[in-house]
Parts: sequence; C-alpha cells; structure tokens
Amino acid sequence: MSQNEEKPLNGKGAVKKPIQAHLGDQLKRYFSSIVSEPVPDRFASLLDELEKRERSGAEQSQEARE
Amino acid sequence: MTAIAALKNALLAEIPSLRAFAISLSGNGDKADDLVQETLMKAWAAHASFAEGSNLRAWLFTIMRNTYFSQYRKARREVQDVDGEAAARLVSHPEQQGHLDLADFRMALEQLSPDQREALILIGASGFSYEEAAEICGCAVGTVKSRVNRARQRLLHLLALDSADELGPDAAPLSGKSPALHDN
Repeated sequence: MSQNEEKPLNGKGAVKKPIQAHLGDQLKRYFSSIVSEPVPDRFASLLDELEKRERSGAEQSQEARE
Repeated sequence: MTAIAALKNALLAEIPSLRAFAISLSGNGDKADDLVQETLMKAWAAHASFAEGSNLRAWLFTIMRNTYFSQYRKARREVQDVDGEAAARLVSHPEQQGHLDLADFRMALEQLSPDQREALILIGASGFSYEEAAEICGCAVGTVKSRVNRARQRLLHLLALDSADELGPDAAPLSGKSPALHDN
C-alpha cells in the first residue's frame, strides 16, 4: 500500500454537500442506465451450458457408482 | 427446484449488476462482457465455497474485481498509459454546469485510477457499505474512504465543478435525497 496515496486529505478535502449529492445522482444514473440495458444472450446460453455439463457429470458419476 | 437450477437462477438475476460493474471497471465493449463471462464461470466452479445466506452480489463482485485487477496488472506491463490522451479529449462546458451529459460523466469516470473508480462505484452506485466495499476490495475501510474522497475530487475537477459555487437551475435535487456519496 502506498503511503502517499492513502494518507488523509488535507484542508481542501471536503467536497461541498450539494455538489456531492449531485455527483451521487449522476453516479447512480450512470450505473442504473447500464443495469437496465438488455442482457446479451450469451450469458443465459453460458449458464445453460454449465447446467447441462453439471447434470451430465452428476449422472455419469452416479452410473460409475452403480 | 434443484440446487443447480437455483444457482443458475441466482446468477442470472445478478447479470445486469455484474455487467454494470464490469463496464464501470473496464469500459464498454467486449472486454466487459468477457469479464462477466469469466466471473460467471469462476463463480459456477467455486459455488461450493459460497456461504449460503451471505451476500451473493458481494461475492460475485469480489471474483470480478480480482479477475479484472490481475488482468489489468498484466496488461499494464504491456500497454502504454493513454490517460493523458483521453483527458485531452474531455471537453468541459462551463455554460452547462449542473447539466452534465451522461456521456461526459462516463468519460470523466474513465479518467479515474481503477482503484478510485472501483471504490466510487461500490459506495456511490452499487449501494455497498464502506465495510462491504473494503471486504470486496481486500483493503482497509479507511483506504476505501480515502479512495472515494479522491475519486470525488478528481471527478469534480474533470467536470469543472470544483470551482462552481452553485449548480445551474436544472441541476438534480440537491439536498437530502442522495445520501450515498456522503461519508458515514
């Protein structure tokens, strides 16, 4: 950890509250604009694939025991 | 529902948040979606180590940021820093203070150092507490606070708000309603 980077802010530290709140609103708008984007299909396909593999893996190990 | 189906549904439900965190960390585009994919695969492979009843999103964000930062450190050794260039492209419009375009905001966000950006997103946008954010980042609570403060200052500077005493008339509601960026 760098001393320089982590030391507390001096003097000019505090950001004015109204501006800070405005910044907070912008930040939330930015983030929620991405959250509400449609999700690419590739992720559902990936999870389907992982599920399928896990199930067939489980069946195989069951057969092996029998 | 089987345990596997439950896991799948739980992960599916987290994908929008994971994408938002990935894009915040690494910028828009294929890299972000690759990061989501890698996170999902790692989470799937390691789900036995997830403590039932604990915060799934925090666990996934931890996997994602660790994946991102280990790649980032690797890439840094290979690629030249282009911060200066991007900063030069960032144009501020004094006449539009308080009326920030989302695109300008995103560009300013990209100028922050990755650890500052991460801290700001976790605290200010994802709704994690300082304690949770510290756990996700694997650092001290004080470090998160310091990074968030620095991130705010840098953003204000980039957006040319640091010299503004007041915001324009069309600024978002300014008091009380947005506590997320206030220190505890």
